[in-house]
Amino acid sequence: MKSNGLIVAFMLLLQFTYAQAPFGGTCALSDEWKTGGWESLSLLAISTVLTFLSLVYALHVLLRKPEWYIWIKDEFYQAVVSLAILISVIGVVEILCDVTSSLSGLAGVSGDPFSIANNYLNDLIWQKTLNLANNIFMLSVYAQVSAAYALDLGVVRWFPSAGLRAVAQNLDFLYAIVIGISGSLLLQSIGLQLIRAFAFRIIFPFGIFFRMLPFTRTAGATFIAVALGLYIIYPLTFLMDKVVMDTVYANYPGLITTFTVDPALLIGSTLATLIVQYNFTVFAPTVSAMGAVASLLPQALFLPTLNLIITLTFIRTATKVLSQNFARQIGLYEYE
Amino acid sequence: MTLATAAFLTGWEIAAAVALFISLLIISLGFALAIGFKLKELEEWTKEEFYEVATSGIIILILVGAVDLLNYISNILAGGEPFALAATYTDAATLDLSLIFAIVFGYNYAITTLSTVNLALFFPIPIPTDPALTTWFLIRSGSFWTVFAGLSAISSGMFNVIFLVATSLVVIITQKVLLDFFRATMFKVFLPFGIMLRTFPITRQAGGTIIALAIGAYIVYPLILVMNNSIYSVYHPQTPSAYAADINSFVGQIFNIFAKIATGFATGDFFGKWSVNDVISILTPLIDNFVIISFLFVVDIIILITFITGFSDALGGDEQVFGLSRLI
Amino acid sequence: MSDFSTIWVTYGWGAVSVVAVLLSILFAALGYTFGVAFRLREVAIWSREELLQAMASGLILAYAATFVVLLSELSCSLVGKAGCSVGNDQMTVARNIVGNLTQNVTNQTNYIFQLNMRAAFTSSLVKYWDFSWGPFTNVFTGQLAFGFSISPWAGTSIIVESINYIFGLLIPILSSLVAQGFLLELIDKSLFPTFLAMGIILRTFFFSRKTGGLLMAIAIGIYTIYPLMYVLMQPFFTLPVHDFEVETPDIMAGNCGVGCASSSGAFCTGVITPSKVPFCMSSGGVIAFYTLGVFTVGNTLTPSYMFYTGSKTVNKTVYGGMQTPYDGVLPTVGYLLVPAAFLPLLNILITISFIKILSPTLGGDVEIAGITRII
Repeated sequence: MKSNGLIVAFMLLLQFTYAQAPFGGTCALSDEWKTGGWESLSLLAISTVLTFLSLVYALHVLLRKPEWYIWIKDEFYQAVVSLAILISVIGVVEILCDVTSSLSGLAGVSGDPFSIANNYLNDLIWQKTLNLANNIFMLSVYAQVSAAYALDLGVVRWFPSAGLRAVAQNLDFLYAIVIGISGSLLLQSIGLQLIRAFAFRIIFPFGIFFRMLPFTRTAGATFIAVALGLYIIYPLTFLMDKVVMDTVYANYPGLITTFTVDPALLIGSTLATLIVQYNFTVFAPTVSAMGAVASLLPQALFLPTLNLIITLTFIRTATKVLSQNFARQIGLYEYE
Repeated sequence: MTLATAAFLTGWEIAAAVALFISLLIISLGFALAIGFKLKELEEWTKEEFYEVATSGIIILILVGAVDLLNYISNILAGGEPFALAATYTDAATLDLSLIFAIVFGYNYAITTLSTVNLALFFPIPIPTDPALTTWFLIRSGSFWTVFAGLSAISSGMFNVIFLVATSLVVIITQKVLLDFFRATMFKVFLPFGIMLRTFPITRQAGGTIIALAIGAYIVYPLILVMNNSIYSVYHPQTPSAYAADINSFVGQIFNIFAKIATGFATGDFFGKWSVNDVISILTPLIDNFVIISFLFVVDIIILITFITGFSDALGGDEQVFGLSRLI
Repeated sequence: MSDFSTIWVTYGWGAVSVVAVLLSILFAALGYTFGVAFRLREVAIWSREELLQAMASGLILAYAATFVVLLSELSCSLVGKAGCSVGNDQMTVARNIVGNLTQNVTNQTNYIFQLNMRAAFTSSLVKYWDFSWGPFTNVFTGQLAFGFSISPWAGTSIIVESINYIFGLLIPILSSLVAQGFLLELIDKSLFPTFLAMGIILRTFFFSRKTGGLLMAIAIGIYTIYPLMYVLMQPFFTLPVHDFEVETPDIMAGNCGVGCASSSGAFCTGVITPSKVPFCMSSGGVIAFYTLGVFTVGNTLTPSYMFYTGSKTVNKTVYGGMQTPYDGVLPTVGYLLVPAAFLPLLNILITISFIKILSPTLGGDVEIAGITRII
């Protein structure tokens, strides 16, 4: 009676899911998850397991092994649960299309979260981080070139700006920080592309398959949780970052400082050096560079770290949830 | 239904209420299924979830009603507006560090330049046989020397210490930027986000963690910086002075160097007046400032993370959250 | 003690902590009432535990001042001074140790620096003769020249380069010692009383108990273990200062026997007997070489000094001051790396280990936000 009731509820869920957004429709989440034929692979895996269970059932009747029946029943319900997870995830993802579309609209951007995340990261890497690194590097080179300038006056020869080597050392230190950060962000950007291509097409079907086998159930649950976390949650965290930074710019426009080096200024100060013999024009830009690096850290370090923490926490929780024996937990059957 | 009407950022209470309503709807459906199909375990689960959702609702009510109270309490603890007082510490430290940078940089600049000064002189020795040839041929006897070449040792030594200035400046400016960043975003974006995540079972841990992070960053972090201010205002290094006679001033050190050179030529003791003690007195404010700023920064991070972890545990969040960052 | 009293009594932190304990008791009582009224057993049990914790916090704050005195006395007894007098506790002893070493290292560095000044100057002396032809009536017509130059003491540059490299270590070493001294002072005057007072207050509330316990553990650790490690490692925080003078009247040992009229000499830098100082050169010798390129007694003997191996009556040998058993430039730097780099790191690790063990006892966190990763 319980089982029949649950099967009816399950069929209703299927109807509801397919009524929302049929396969092949457009979705603000991303469309790659529908390609690659992973659904048929997952269904094939489920069918294979069910076929195997049927064979074992026939064998248990033939060989009169009642203890096999308990195991078969458990595995059968696990296969049903895996199928339910598969259908539910498809349904949830389709529903999320609407939700993310709303969230994107609120953030003032269009497109699916992967595109938004990609644009946000590209802007952060190329417009902010690497641009800052280039300017710092240019200033450091200028400082070192100035330090090597020698002046001859009659019997005296000296290097008026030799002390700029120490300033160049500070700039190199800042450069190392910024380049490290940009490397990490580039890695995340590439990671997003890989996630977009593989998370739902490869990791999720593997997860469904592994979950059906008794000795790889926890691994399967982990795979499913990883797929969900990386494909759905992780890009959404970048949408959250965009909203956060837009809020910051709106309320504290002076918080994020930029640093640029004007080549004309450098040339002008070089000429000044020839006349005045001392070049202090590197000092103020050095302090500005330190301020620019520090102001970049929340966006370039804190927020990406928070994204990973949120995603990983979700994956941990989802793994615990998905690896449970739902059928037993909701009292669908009991061991006889 | 979309969230567009909720105005997520400015109307976070409405968005949180919608999330609560959706959770209650799901729980109700589950409860109905449990009763209808006599699933006792499902019934227990829905009851637990109901308590969790009720807790989330109480948190929302407390935060809606008590944010002003929290601000009032933190004003009392800080003795003023916490963010303004916290900014006092970062601004004072930044100013001191900039002045110290100018002095250390200026001293190193002068010493390094002086160490490169090369004196060259030659004496012409005319060829005595034919004066006319002197116009075209000349023997020169010359030499050059770098009197203060030994000062390059000080340059080398300071070279390895000067980067502390950049480190200290970056640390203190980062603390200031984080202060403004938290002020702008924590209660406006992260707190509502965390509350909504906490409403659903699968994202409850993440939601609890984010709520703890938001409260820790908005309330506790400024108070920590106010504590730093009380320590720094008493023990900050000697403020660089404007007096010319003081070695710890930009003008003073230049005078000091020229005085040594002049004394050397006057007395004939060129090297005796030079000493490492000058370098140490120039570097001491930098070192002291670096020690205070770094130590307080580390302790600030420890206090903040420990508070967030403990509070997160109380809200049902993930107490291992900062261990997860090891994976990064 | 006086600084803790100032914070605890004068600034009113003690009064604040009393209010905190009372508030905590009030919350616990309210929770217990709620738990009993709605038959929530878990809430009632939690409230009882919170009441006990509040009473423990009350005991701690009641005896806070006494606790600080006992802590100091215990540390003093471990230091070996029974009944420390004011101004002579374990913090003072530790600061004196670091201060003495800093002074000795500064003096030693000065000797090395003076050696470098002399050696660098000597190595920079170059004499040239050339034969030039061309219309030299003005600077724009140009000239061609060929000739030769000599730098008799160019070999000294190896000494200069070595000392330049060593100074790249010595100044950071000195900076490290200055930093350690300042940190000890900061702990004594400010960090310990502030952290202890704040920890007691924060420990009172359930949501900040971990933070409060951790702060208390940090305060106790940095006030007791950290300075005690300096006292225990005192033999490694000493440095006998060497002046690189050669104790022999052998004329081969110096080159200022003639021409250095004053006790300091032109390029001999303030030493009492310039004839014993490596790379010393008189004014007369410099002028003779610079103008005429003449080698004199005032400058000739420097090269031979580089190869001086010392007389049999002297135990020390000085190869330009660079390397001798334990009293040359290089061994000095190697020796100083221990108190300047290795021992402070060890000290910090031991203090963190102590804090990590003490913190859970006081209700604090164990992981200390990942800092314990380094242990």
